[in-house]
Amino acid sequence: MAIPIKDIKLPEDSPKELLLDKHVEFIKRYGKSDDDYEFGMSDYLRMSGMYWGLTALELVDKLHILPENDVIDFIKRCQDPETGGISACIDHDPHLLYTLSAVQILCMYDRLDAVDASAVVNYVTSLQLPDGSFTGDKWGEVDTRFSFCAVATLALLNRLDAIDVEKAVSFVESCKNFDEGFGSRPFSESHAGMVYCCLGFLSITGRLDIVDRDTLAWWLCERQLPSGGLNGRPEKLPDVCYSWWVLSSLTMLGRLHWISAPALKRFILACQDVETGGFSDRPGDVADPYHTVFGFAALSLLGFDSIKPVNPTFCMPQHVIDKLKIKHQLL
Amino acid sequence: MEEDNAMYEKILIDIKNLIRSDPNLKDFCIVPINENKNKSPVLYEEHNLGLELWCVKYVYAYLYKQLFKLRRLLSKNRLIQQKSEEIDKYLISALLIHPEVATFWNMRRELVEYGVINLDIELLLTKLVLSNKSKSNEAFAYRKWIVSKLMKGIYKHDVVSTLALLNQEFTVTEMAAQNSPNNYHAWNHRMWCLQSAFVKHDFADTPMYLNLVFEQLDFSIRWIQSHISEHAGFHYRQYLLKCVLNSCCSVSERTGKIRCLLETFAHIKACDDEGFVQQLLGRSSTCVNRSMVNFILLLLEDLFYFMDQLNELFPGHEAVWYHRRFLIFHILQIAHEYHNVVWFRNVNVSGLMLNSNDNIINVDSGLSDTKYPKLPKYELDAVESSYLYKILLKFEFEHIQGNSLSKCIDAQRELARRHEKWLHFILCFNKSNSFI
Repeated sequence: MAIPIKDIKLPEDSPKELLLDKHVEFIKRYGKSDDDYEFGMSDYLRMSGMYWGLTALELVDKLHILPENDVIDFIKRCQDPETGGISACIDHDPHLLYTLSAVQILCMYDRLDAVDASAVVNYVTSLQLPDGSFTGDKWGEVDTRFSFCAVATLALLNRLDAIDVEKAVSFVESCKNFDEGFGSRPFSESHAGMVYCCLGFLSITGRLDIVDRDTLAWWLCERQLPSGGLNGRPEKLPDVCYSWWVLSSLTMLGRLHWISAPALKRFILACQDVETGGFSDRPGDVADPYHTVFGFAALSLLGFDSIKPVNPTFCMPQHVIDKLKIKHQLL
Repeated sequence: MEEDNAMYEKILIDIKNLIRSDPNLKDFCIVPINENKNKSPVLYEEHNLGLELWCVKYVYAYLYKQLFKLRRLLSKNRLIQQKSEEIDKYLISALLIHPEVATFWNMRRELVEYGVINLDIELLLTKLVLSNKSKSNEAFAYRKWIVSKLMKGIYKHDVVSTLALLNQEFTVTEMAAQNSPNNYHAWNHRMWCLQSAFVKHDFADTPMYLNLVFEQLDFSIRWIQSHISEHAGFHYRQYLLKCVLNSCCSVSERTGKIRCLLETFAHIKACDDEGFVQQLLGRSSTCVNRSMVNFILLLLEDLFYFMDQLNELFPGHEAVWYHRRFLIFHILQIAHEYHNVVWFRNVNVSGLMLNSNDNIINVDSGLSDTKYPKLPKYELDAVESSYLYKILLKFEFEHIQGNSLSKCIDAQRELARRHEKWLHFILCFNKSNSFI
């Protein structure tokens, strides 16, 4: 009885070169969908969608092909005058996820002046609970993703002093498991996406010392499958977005060289759509901006010349982080 | 246009009425019928609710517009009471069709806060949403919000009502976990519910607590046996095992059985649990509490008995080997606690020769060929010199050898090799630490 490892086989005719121009066209087209219904269905995460698309463009030096003023104007209109938080789309409720995406976009354009930054700081601060955790919005859902969003937003605004960092760290620490991985809350299963959020959080707060570096790096390396792709948890299929979550985590831990880079490169390149442009989760699936930016970012960490260096903590172009002089720890 | 709007309204009202009138609704789904056959696209059969695909796009576009129109109006005038019936109607279908829109759930939260919708309907609605989109994070977050409201309404001494609520949540999470494998949100929800009940009633030292945990441990065995490759199911079991540590109750009926099972592996006999653990670990210099004894016995049962079964039946599963890691890690950790000694692990992978093209996991460690030094490098601590440590080492290395034979499937041999490396490099659990 042969039980194959849960993985995929890269098709023989998979693309082996980076199809840069096609991806740029793909992102450009994505912002102007003709289908109102499809467009309306993604309203609820539009701000993050924009961050993915615009970051992908900036990583290949093509940010200028989309109109900056439209983007800035949209973000302005998404800031809630009452709370200071930013929503995914006009008329939607503010949330930490989209507040971070908006601030990341504004940093790329060097246009933090476009929103009321002190109101954003107040919003983030208002969401910290006594145990140090953060809720995503006023309704109280707690998640380590929100801890990351909170400190990343504040760090980009240079206002990390506005929250109780020590308590925030002890909450994140309480979400750590015996394998040194992190879940979304205390007692939750280790998950590569949450590992990224928590390491990013610790990188920003300068507390990477609370993880046993090599134990966690070992777990992360075990995410690489024979196809070269990475999964997010044991016995799950590989997915391009985990190329980013796992690779950026390994980079923060200073253990990027522990995985097989050539195999991962092959996998990521095979996930390009040769017709439409863009990357998908796995070869042959439909491409989207989310997998496209994480495909680019992962290739950047693997040293692709045609893509600008990306910062592993913030998933933003390194030159933006350098220019703003954002402090963060890498091992 | 107006005719169309009237049709959409009729669809929305039908759906709302069905939800209001049938508390036993089980499932919602979008039925793949692409053509308008001039009859109602709302299907209802044997407590299942369906909506034909052809109308979804139009209905959603219609209600989306209506909802935001109302919302803009509301935020200015706070007319929510007057408009609540209408908003409720739009929101039900909006969320059945597209549960990822957080703002829609927030609007329902507002309706709940205004006291215009009833919490039981909300449990039903979220159940229907989850029957269709089992991984919806937003639906689980909302359900959690509703469950905490219900839990707040239960008196502190009324554990029975909490258990009834828990059972309801167990059913919903099991359904969601059945529908999508490794459903992170479903298992999180289940653990959150248990944890909230524990915190609310603070009943860890009553027999009811361990009964509940054991019931769930039994459920988890059945779950794992039919979902072997789902690590999420193993993780739930790991959470439950750790729950045992919170209670100092004696469960001799259960632990007595475990002792009988273990006697054949460990070749020791004892008249009680404490005596058994003392023979395994030696006499502790500190006060040993009951929870520790229970925990050790349960971990050993999983390792020596349950894992052996799974390994036989389901070779080649990473999830099974990962659970093994959990067990060994925690047995060693609790043994150190038992003896009140610091567990010093010097994680050191410098023995692995890295090249730039390979993954560290696949680098040949040469472990299997190495003759380990027979003498310890340093003085053994109370754990390393215990009988348990010896049988654990022996058991693990026999297990690795047994699963590295050529008759084993490739995936199993590979996992055995990885296990050996993990024990050696990460856990620092190897033969050089002991006299064998």
